[in-house]
Amino acid sequence: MKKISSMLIIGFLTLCIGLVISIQITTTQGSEIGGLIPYAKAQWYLEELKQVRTEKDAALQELNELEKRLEKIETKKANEDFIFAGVVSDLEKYKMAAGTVDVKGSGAVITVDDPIATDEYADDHSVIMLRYELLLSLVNKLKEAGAEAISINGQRIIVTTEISLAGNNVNINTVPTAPPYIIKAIGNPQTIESTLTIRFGIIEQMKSYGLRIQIEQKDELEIPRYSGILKFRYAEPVEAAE
Amino acid sequence: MLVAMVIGLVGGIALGFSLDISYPTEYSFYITMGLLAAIDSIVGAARSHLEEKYNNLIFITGFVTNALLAGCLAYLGDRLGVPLYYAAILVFGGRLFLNLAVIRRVLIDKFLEKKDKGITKK
Repeated sequence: MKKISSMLIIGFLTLCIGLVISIQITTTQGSEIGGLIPYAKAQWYLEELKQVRTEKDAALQELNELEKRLEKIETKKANEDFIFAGVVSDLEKYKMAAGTVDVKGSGAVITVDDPIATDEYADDHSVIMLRYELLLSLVNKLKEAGAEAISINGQRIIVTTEISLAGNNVNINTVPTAPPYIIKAIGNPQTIESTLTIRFGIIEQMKSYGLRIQIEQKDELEIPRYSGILKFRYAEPVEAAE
Repeated sequence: MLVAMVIGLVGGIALGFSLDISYPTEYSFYITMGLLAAIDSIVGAARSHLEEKYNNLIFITGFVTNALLAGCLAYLGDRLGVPLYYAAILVFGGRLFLNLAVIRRVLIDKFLEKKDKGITKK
């Protein structure tokens, strides 16, 4: 009699354990966004991320190679054909305007960094990231100064480029970036520097927030291309009226 | 007894999956700690059963108090900002292995005894 009762109790308690285990499993599986990711899974995601990154790099390399080949074919054809040569040079111009080719030339490099930490909370927030509009107006001023190509931390500024605070990052071309911001601009170095450093200009405004800013004029600097995809889903050209 | 354990465990898991019960995720951690203590108690019961020292009352009280203590310790640690649940993990985890080792020994001993008897019979 005693044995049966103890068996019943043990059976019941193990039933409880099994119940809790299965509930736990369903809750951890059901709420991946809720921060309940098992350690092993996080590791797996990390591994996957690494793999995808290498794949991306490989794909980018392939793209570059293919583009080089295309260019070679284009120049070859252009040498043969007079009309085609005109088309190719037009294409090159439009590519430059769209920001889909690497460009180099004289210009200026502006480095923007957060103020030197004066209190213990300074590490918790970034002045330049909270005031990302300063970056936007800096880009605006650069364009005003006649900059022909601009990049921030390696992200080329093109027609669709956004600079916006998203959570703890400032997204540029949907790529999260963080200080220090290195802004490169191709144009007349003197014009760029004097446009930025004019009295009550953008640099002065930025310095009033305590930001550390350096401007360097360069004879030669390179700005990377925009590596995303330009796609127009809504806009289409208007047919010229006859 | 061991059969009852296995049946209970399998039945519980099946029931949990089929019944779609859930509790708030913020308690999940404390319940896991309690779960560890409960598993330890079950393995301990299996051990004492094999050693023929099993006592129903000791088992049930141990089961409940250990689980409660582990859960409360984890909760208290959260409140105090000190990872007190380490204590529960270390103690119950360690005891789990210890109990399992004893169970293994006892089973092997029994197996060897049987084998010896078989040989002498022949």
